[in-house]
This record gives sequence, structure tokens and C-alpha cells, in this order.
Amino acid sequence: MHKKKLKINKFGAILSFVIVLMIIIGIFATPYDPNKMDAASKFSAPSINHIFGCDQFGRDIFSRVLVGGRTTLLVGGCTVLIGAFFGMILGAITGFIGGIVDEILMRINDVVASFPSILLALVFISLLGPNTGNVILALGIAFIPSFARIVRSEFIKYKDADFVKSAKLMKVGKIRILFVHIMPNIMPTMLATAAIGFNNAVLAEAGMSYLGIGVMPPDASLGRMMSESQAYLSVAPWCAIFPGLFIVLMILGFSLLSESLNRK
Amino acid sequence: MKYILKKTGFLVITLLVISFITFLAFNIIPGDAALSKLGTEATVDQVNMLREELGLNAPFFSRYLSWLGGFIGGDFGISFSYMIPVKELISGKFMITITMTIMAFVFIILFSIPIAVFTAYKENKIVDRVITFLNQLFMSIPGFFLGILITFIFGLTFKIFMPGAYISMQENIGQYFYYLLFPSVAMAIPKTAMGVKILRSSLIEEKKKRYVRAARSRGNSNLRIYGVYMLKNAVIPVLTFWAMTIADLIANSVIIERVFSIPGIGTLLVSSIANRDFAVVQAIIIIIAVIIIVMNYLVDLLYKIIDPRIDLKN
Repeated sequence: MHKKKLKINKFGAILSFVIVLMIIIGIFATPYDPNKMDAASKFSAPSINHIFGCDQFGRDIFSRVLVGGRTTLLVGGCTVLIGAFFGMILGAITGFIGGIVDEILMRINDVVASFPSILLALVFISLLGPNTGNVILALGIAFIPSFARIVRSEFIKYKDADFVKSAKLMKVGKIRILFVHIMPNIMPTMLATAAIGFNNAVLAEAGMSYLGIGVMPPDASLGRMMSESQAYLSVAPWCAIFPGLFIVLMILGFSLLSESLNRK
Repeated sequence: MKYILKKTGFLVITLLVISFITFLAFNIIPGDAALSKLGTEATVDQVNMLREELGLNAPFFSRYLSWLGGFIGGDFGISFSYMIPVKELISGKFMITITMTIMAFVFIILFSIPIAVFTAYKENKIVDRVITFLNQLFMSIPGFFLGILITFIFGLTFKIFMPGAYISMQENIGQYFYYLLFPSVAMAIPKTAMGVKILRSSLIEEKKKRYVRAARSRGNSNLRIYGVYMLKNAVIPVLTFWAMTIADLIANSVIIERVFSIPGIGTLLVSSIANRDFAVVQAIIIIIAVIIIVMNYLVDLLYKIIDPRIDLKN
């Protein structure tokens, strides 16, 4: 195998880093208490004191965006972990073993994958009821097929590779071949897929919370901030625009990163 | 011909499986229509009577068959929160969602093809780089946020439409299309960006092929080479993306309807999920699933028509 040279997109890397850093700092300290209401600063425009302005209850939007961003990051991260973990197992089994199991699982997989993940998540939410844990579970399950499909095709690619054949000759166990010999080779592809999956999860979470059937109070959510402040769009557009911009920058950063991972 | 039969067989099986899984999912959850309707204060006898009346006590499989039979005949059950047949509830609303999806799709095709051709032609020039970056930016904007921005800019600032003042088709068909134009564009822009990206890279792949050089040596203009020869070949891998786009547009319309207060299928779906009105949720989900699966089936057939060389076994 020739060496893959990773050329990381600098802009994307910096953007993602800054956003994640801001959210992490936000766990320990935010400029204001995100839930503290202050009648005096109701709808105050962005200024030095409140860089993103204040909402209808005089709460500081920047602080709320940081807390909402945390939920978004949590949902996106956990979703990708669930999807990647089960997708990896499913893909490894189907790709490496093949046969009738592969045929059946992949058919089901294709049907599920052709269905928009947000609709699938909505079905789960309607069955389980909305809250942060269920959103993660619903999106995680919805993302398994896309991971499984990619892992499967990667495993098929390496199934007959020389290093796998020689490992087999040396009587290396199947499980070991799967996870020690082949797995490291598919990591770059996995990472790129995870980044795309993360973005889709962020989009889906924001959309569901915007509809009011995703993350529920008291958990903060960027999507819900946007839907709550839409009524005040003419008086205080910053209430909706800043949470939205935060999502855009988050997705932009991660997609630029994943682009550079994808390019070999 | 054999291929079409095989594909059609799979189509039917897939549809049956989907309907079964959905029915199963909505029937194993605790709390059925009888419970939700009577509330927490009902006695066990009352609940049992209503269950009997609604046919909820029959064995699972016979309930599935009777439901499936009804579904194929266009009887989607009764919405318990509105107390009218689901069919009446959704038929008009699907029209709105389909109108938006079609308008958005037309927008995507109209804009993504010329932009993709142009950027592929100017590959790595400044214009291409700028457009490619803008593309990446637009791909990162959630459709509903774009909807909010459009509401703010065109609705509240320039006042070229009234946000929230949806006009039904019966009232005024011209105004109906005009109002739906804005949400459609909001849905279409991120997908257009994605479409440009995929078609552009597909076109750039084509550039290297020998037929392009042959066409050039015959004295064809660049416009003709890019717009006719290369485009025809480059579009083939993009077809699947377009089919997926339609599915995504239907899903996104659920959210965008909320932004523009449109009483379409999405608004109904969300309120039915909140009310746990499962007959409605189930019907909407299955109809959307059928649309998506049938569309994928048609795209598979279309591939064969466009390019008979494609090996359809895979």
C-alpha cells in the first residue's frame, strides 16, 4: 500500500477547532447565566456587553448558543458513535463473510438507507417520545445503514488483498484479521464518513428541535432557539440568526475537514 | 425484460416488508388508540369495549392483513384526534408538499447544471474556486435556517411576500405558487450546491476521456462539447443523487412548512406525532416510503434506458 498523504484543510481545521474549543470552555463558564432573565436587556441588540444580543426574556444569546452548541455536539458525537459502531460490525460481517446473510442484510440496508434519516428519526421519536436520549438513539439507528454500506465495500476491497491472504496462511484467527489487519486500513474512509454523518446528525437534530419534537427543555438546543425567536424576527432578528450561523459554521468546518480526509 | 420483472418483484417485496415493519412498530408500543382516546380515567371495561369496537382485540396478523387490504384500497383508517378518515385529512395536504418538491426540484436542475458545466470548464481558475467555496458554504446551511433568512430578507425587509400568509390553491392559484416559491427555493439552494459539486466532479472525470479530444478535433465548440457530449455522460452517475434529492426534499418540506406556516403534510405529521395519532403518522410515513421506493425503482429502470451497457445485476 502506498502512503496516503493527508492534507488537512487549514480553514476547516481552524474553524472546527475554535468552535469545539468555545463549546468546551462554555461547559465551565459562559459570559452570563444562559437561563437568567433580565427584563432590562430584553431584545437588546448585539453590543460589547452581549455580543450576540439578548432574547425576549433578556437572556444572553451568546451564552445560550454555547450551551445549545454543547447539546448539538453531544447529539452529533453520540449519533456517529452508535452508527459507526454497529455499522462497523454489520459491515464487517456482511463484507467479510458474504453469502446469503450478506444478501438479506444488504437488501434491508438499502431500503433503510434510501429513506431520509430525519424521517426515520421522526418515526422513532413518535414511538419513543421526544427527549435528548431518544434523539440520539433514533438518529444513531438511522445512521447505521450508511456506515454499514461503506464498511462493507471497504472490507470487500481488502478481503482478497495479499496481506489478508498471508495472514490466513499463518492461521491468524478470523476476528483478528477483521479487527487488527483490515480495520486500520479503512480508518481514513471511516473518519470521512463519520464527519459527514456528524453533519447530517447536526442538521437532523437542529431540524427536529426546531419542530419541537427533538431535544426538549430544560436541555438547550440551537434548533429550538430558532423556532422560539422566529416570532420576533422583525424586532430582533439576531435571536434567530446567531444560533443559525453557529450551526452553519459548525457544519462548514467539519465538512471542509472531511473533504480533506476524503482526498487521497 | 427479465430484469424489469425481477426488479418489479423486489419492489413488491420491499413494499410489503416496509408496510409490515411500520405496522409492527406502531402496534407494539404501549398505549393504543383506545387508551389515548379515553384518557387515563377510563375503566378497564370501557377501554376493552372501545378496543372491541375499533377491532384492536383481533389477532395481530389478521389486523395487519385487514389494515393492508384497506390501505391498498385507499382506506387509511380514521384519525382519532380529528375523527375523520385519514384519507380526507391528507389528500389535499399532499398536493402542497408535492408542489413544493417539484418546484424545488426544477430549481435545482435549472441552476445546478449550468453552474456545474461552467465551473468544470473553468476548473481551478479563480471563478471556479470562488464558486466552489460558496458552494461549500451553501451546502452547510440548513434549509430551515435559509427559510428564516429568506423570510427576514424578502418577507420582512423588502416585503415582496407576506410571511405566514399562505394562500390555498382554491383561493388563488397564482398566489399559491408565488407563496410556495420561497420555501421551495429555501429547500433547493443547499441541494443545488450539492448537485453542482457532484456534477462538476463527474464532468471533470469526463474531460480526460478520448471522445472529448475526438470531438474537439472535429471542430466542435467548447459549449457543444461540455453542454452536449460530456454532460450526457457525466449526468449518469448523478441520476441516483437526483432521486435521493427528491426523497430529501419531501423530508425537508416537513421542516420548511413550519418556517413558512404552510398547512401541508409536514405540519400534520408533526402535530400527529405530538398527539400520538398513530393512524395518521403511519399513513404518512408509508405513503412517503412508497413514493421513495417507487422512485428508486424508476431510476434503476431509467439507467437501463439511458445507457444499455450498464450491468444491472449489481
